[in-house]
Amino acid sequence: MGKLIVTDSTGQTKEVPLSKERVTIGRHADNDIPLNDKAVSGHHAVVITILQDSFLEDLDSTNGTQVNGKQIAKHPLSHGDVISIGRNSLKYEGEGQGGDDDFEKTMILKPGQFGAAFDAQVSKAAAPTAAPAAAAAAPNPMASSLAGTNAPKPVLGKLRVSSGPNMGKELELSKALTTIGKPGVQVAAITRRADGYYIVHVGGQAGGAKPLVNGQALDTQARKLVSNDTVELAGTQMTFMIIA
Amino acid sequence: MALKDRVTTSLVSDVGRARTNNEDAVEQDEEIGLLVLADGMGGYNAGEIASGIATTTVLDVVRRDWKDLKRGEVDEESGYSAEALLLRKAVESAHQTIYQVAQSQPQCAGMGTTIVTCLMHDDRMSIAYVGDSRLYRFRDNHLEQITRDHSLLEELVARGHYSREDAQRLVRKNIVTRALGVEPEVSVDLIEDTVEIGDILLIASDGLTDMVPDEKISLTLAKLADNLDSAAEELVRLANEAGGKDNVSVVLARADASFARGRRWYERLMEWF
Repeated sequence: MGKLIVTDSTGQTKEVPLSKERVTIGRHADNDIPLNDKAVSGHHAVVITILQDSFLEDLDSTNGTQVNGKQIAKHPLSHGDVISIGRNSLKYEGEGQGGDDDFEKTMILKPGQFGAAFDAQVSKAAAPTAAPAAAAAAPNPMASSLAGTNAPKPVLGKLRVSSGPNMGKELELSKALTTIGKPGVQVAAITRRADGYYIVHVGGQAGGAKPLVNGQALDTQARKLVSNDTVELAGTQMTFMIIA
Repeated sequence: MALKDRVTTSLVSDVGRARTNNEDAVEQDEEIGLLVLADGMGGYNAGEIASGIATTTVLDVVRRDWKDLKRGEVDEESGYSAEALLLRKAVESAHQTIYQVAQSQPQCAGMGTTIVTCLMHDDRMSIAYVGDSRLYRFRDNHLEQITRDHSLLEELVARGHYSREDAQRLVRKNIVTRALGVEPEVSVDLIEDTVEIGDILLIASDGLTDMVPDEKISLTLAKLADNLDSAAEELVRLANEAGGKDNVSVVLARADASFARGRRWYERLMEWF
């Protein structure tokens, strides 16, 4: 188990073992590590511990959290890290340092070892910093639970024809593997994986025109589809969309 | 021409350089086109027992149900082929057996195993997997990881907590979030994808993928694509050269010809638009 050596603004020192999944830090008395300092927000930061690993997260505090002098939002703690919050410093001491043996022994993280609190926390912390592309690909990070059910529900996508006589027609991509196109002309396969849909050109050796995604010709490698991608196949245009 | 004349395979499992026993297991059925790899964990010999039960049970269940299987039929509800659903059933069955043994035999308490199983049929592959063993597809000199590990690292990346690069540097690789035999229930992931002539499928335990970077695996497959036995041996050698800290298992399968039933499946397609 790791621990924090807390040195508060008056110079007093105490040791706090990271024995709980969540150890909260802040000005209010309901925190696990209360810091009586006006520069500290009521609920300032949290340290989440999973097995031997601890993760520090700033809880959108007013004055921010620094690790080794650098402003952080989320930070995986390593042995010797010094966290600064207001005029307080908290030194992280990990356990079992340099354990190269850890490398080989696979451990199983059982459902429940992550509490729901961790889930919500990680999701919340992830949301504001997520890049636009990531946000599009992961419509609802809260939906997938790391613990308990531990099987995130797969996304569901569809194709809408946006040109030609069948304009407006839709194909729900509910199969694990969907094939589209005119046999002998152009065929593409769309496969559903845990993290979304991938499109690949099949029977490509025949030569001729290749299916296009956003105007780019598909090569033989699978390409991930994101919402509003345009797929053009045998002269027909389609738009890919994530439904749920 | 039988499937085994169209698909060439090579399976190797090596104890590595740090362990005294091999807890990995690899199996195949060339007639059916079935490949299985399991990486067991648990004290004493329990890891070997878990991975052994896993591969044996999967083979048994698939062989038993193969004859009467409505091949190629897609289940409306789930969107998966009969082949994929059979693999899931086989893996769940293996899970039940391992779990029961772990509960009833004190020396087996806490054992578990990863599994990757793949059925090659009709120019496609159906994959069922649990844990952090992986399946890759090598196509046109490009190696693509098809499965996503059930590991803490992947879960944290999927949630946007880390970039993949940061996570690989900072999060421990060896924490799996799912395994067979550990909890009463297990959730098995299924994937279906295409296989083209010349594709090489690689199934590997983390003894390979933790020790040898993907680029090196890719170069090795490119260099030795024509000789799968040499490729498999070379991959094991590279893992051992890098330290061999875990058991190393490699399953390779190369499509030498189309193995579609009748005409190639996409020539039989109905046009939907």
